Amino acid sequence: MLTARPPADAAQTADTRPIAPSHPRTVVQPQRFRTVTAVEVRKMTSTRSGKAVLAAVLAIAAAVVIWLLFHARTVPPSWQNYSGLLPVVGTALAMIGLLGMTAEWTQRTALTTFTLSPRRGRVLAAKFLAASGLALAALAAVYAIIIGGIAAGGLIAGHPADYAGMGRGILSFLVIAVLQVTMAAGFGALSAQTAVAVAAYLVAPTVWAAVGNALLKSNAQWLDVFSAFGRLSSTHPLTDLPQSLTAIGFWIVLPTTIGVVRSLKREVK
Amino acid sequence: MINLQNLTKRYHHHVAVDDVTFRCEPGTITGFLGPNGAGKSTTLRMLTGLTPPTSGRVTIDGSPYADLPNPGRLVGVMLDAAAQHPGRTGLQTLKLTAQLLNMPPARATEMLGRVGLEAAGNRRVGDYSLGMRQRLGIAGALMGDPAVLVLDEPANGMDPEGIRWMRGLLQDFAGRGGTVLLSSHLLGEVQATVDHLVVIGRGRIVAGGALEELLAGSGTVVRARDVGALASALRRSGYTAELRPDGALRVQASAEQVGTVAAATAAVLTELGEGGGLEDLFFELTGSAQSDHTAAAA
Repeated sequence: MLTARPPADAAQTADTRPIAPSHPRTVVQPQRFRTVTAVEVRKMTSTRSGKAVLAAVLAIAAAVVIWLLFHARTVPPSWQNYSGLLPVVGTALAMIGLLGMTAEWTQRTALTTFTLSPRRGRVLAAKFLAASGLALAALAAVYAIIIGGIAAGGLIAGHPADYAGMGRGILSFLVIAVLQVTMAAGFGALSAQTAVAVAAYLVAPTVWAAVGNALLKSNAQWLDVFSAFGRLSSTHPLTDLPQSLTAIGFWIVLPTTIGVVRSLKREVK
Repeated sequence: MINLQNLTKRYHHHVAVDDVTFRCEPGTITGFLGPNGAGKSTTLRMLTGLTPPTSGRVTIDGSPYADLPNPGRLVGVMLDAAAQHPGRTGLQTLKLTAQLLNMPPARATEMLGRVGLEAAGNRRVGDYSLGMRQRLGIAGALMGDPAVLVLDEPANGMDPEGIRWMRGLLQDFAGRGGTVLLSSHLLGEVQATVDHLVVIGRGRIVAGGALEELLAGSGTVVRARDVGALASALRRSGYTAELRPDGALRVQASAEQVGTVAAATAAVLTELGEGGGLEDLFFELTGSAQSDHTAAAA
């Protein structure tokens, strides 16, 4: 006997009013870059992977600070000691940019995205901007956690909280976060495969740092992007500036440029 | 109105779409038919600015797609219902589209209702069946209050009720002045839905025009007690009669002409009707296009 089951595609008694194109046609305003960017921000935060990255970053920051607070007597609460978690935070936040690029191709949403916004260059620019903005917002939250932690540590340990180097540290990590987001998004645009892009972004510069040192000795620092980040965030950001710029050019500007060109031309299937 | 003029796409030495020209007028539903790999999807991607044509042009209401100020406000497009992010809910997906098209967010909820998905709005798209994704894709295509709809295989994965619902929606939309272009390989569904037909084979248009006229050209199918005698009689009268594997005759003549010959030769007919419909037409058109190519290649 046949049992009456609802149809597989769950048609409730759908609204049966006819759908008609409206007359007269309204004048349509061009799509604004601001709107495209806002939509990209929503896209990056509305998926589970995007939310997971943001939540993980805040959780890591909170966990590290809480651990430090338990050791407030042996580890004096200072910007110097508490900001050590920032490089990890920067690397993790950069995943937002990377996922924003690759998701379009792995989930095939590029088909919809580039149909609704045929000018791909604008969409890609909006993605870089949205990822940077989100990373900076998350970084601001992490700063708040760190600063709160230092203050609390000062109270717990009973000696004055030490904020020396904080102003410059905050600034330089903002710059580095944007560089890292751009780098990761560039790798994402380059390969369009999440796994490949993540591996390339995380592993390639590290492997290079090891192999390059063995092969090129001190010349390797010309292409060591993590050392460049380290120098830029140090007390003397201008040390070895030509080397830093060369490394950034090789690991950030080059992949990003090639990635953008490939994404502009990639066939959408 | 959609206007494709001499549209060609060449990949290295392979011609995917070869000099395709046709128009879709307001108030009509055009079915775009062809075997897999015939160039349907490539044509639709060129139409929507995703793939640059090698030569030729395509305009919608006079403008190339990519030059439209906000394309979704004129043309509703669904090229692949599966190409939706599984991690977002149906409602989130539609709200993103609404924002991009500068439509109020409430329109997203309204469209969910229009396609019968209001109860599934807060479920992740990853948990939707293909039929539900088709409905979601159609809601997205309708989001910007378009005058033109371009749908690639919209009935794919839908149950019979869903197919009937969509047919009604499209016929209403066209009946009120909208332009619809849809591709499909479900021939029965196409025959029941469209009023114009464009058939593509090996990248070339092999037939185009009003559905009725094209089907009228597919002749008459007749069965008789003595098929052989009837076939000879018809051929003597100058008609082309061809014996089908199922034992029926297909005659390039009207039912009246066949009946006249049968009466004159006292043949006993057991069945007399229109030609094989869209399916026969389809294989006749695209089959010959394929063999033309094989012959040219040999």
